Amino acid sequence: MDLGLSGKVAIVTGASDGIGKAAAYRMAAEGASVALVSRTRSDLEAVAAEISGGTGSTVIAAPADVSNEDAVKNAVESTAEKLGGIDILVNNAGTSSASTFEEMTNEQLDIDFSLKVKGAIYMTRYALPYLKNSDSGAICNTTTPGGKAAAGGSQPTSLSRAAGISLTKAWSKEFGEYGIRVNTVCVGVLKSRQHRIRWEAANAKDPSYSLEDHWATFGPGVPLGRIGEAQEAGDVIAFICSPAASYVSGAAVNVDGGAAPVY
Amino acid sequence: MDLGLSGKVALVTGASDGIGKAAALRFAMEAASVAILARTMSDLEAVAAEISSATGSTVIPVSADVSDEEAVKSAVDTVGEKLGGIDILVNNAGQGNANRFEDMTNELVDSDFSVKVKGAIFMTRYTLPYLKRSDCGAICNITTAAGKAAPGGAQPTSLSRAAGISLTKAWSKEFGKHGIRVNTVCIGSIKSRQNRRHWEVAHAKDPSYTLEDHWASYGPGIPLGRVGESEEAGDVIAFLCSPAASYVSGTAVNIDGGAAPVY
Repeated sequence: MDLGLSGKVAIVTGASDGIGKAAAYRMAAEGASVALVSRTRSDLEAVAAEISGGTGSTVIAAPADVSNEDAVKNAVESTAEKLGGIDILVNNAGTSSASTFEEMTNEQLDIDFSLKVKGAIYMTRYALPYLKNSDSGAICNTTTPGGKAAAGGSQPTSLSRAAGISLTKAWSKEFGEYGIRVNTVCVGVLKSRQHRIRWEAANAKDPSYSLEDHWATFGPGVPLGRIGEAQEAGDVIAFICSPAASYVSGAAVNVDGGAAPVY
Repeated sequence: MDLGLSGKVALVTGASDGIGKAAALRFAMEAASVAILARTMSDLEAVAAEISSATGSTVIPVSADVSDEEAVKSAVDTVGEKLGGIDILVNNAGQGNANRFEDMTNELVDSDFSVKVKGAIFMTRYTLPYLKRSDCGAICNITTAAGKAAPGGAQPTSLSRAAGISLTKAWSKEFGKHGIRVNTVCIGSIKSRQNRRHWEVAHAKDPSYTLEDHWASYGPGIPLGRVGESEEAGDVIAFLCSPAASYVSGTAVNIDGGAAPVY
């Protein structure tokens, strides 16, 4: 299916690895120009070169800490200038921060909210004027099913993700008049960098514990019986941001192998 | 994006027009073989010929009333035999029945539940053995956003759709171990045959009321400001049922231009 992404411009946060990189790769493979945002320029430049080499599309690094509003403004505006506008914003930056209520500190709460919620607000604030000028504006916020149905011991991630889902619905109502669609994908357990880092810690203690052993531990509890690949989320993000999904807005799509208790 | 549908077999109910036909066309364009099911064979034969000649894919018509369990069993087995299995089932049969509680008759509750809920149950019961043998089994149930958030005056449709969403989540939990994904799309206002009939009734009373006037009447209340096209639903259904959405299960995706109050 032609997703209609050829010639579009996408900006993706948290794009140096995992889901963000996978979404960026798919959009580039469909002929979009892509700006990659995350904190470390050297990581981004390597990923930009890799995606550009793999797809032939223009891919640029736009380093910024999304919780820094001035840095966000600069990254967004330099992207629009270099790539000639912005059609698609993927707010994907953010790592999990899962504690019980009694363990959760104020500092942890502030950092998490700044990165996941205020980061998405800042990115959207500065990308919005460009999205309004697009004929196919779309925003996708990456959240988790825990934002719909919080598990114990998942704070502050679950509340930041609930906020991201709430913003998605509010923005879909407000930005529709500009033809901008706003959706969220609620991502379950995927082979992400953060899970790989946990395996590295476990493997250091027990060298016989392989990466495959680690991924297999995620299978029980997932109806499809396995952990997901980052590309499986990236492809859904690319689809939902594309003109192929032109009447989908205000939706929250689980990409979790069926694990969530709610739709 | 290659959806990975080439060589797959899809069975679509309510496929003689509107959303079902649009989904069937997209599956066929992606090189799947498609069985289209509805009550009237003459309608189906014309649609099968149209889709087949436009795409070059095999499209077969199968007539059945989905609320007749014997007819469903016979139709499903015919499809499995003729097309060499079934990988994808789209439960799309059913039309709106919107009344206030005090106007709703028992007969209407029974007939609505028979087509939309028992129809999907019968189709799934007899298709399931084939889906279990597939390496990419998928079911998509067509429902409406009113099944998540019922307005007044939408009965019994809203309750039958709530049942369809509930079945989706339950089936995603039960069938995951067979690698079968189950999702629903919650459709808003689309240029469907039934909405066109509403215009025909209004147009008969007031010949100056054009079809374009009628479609424009849906705009207010929809964030994107317009009624949707059947293809906009059909393309999402094809994506969700395809291997490109391989980690998406148990989710309920609004295709409503942002109109629903809930995700």
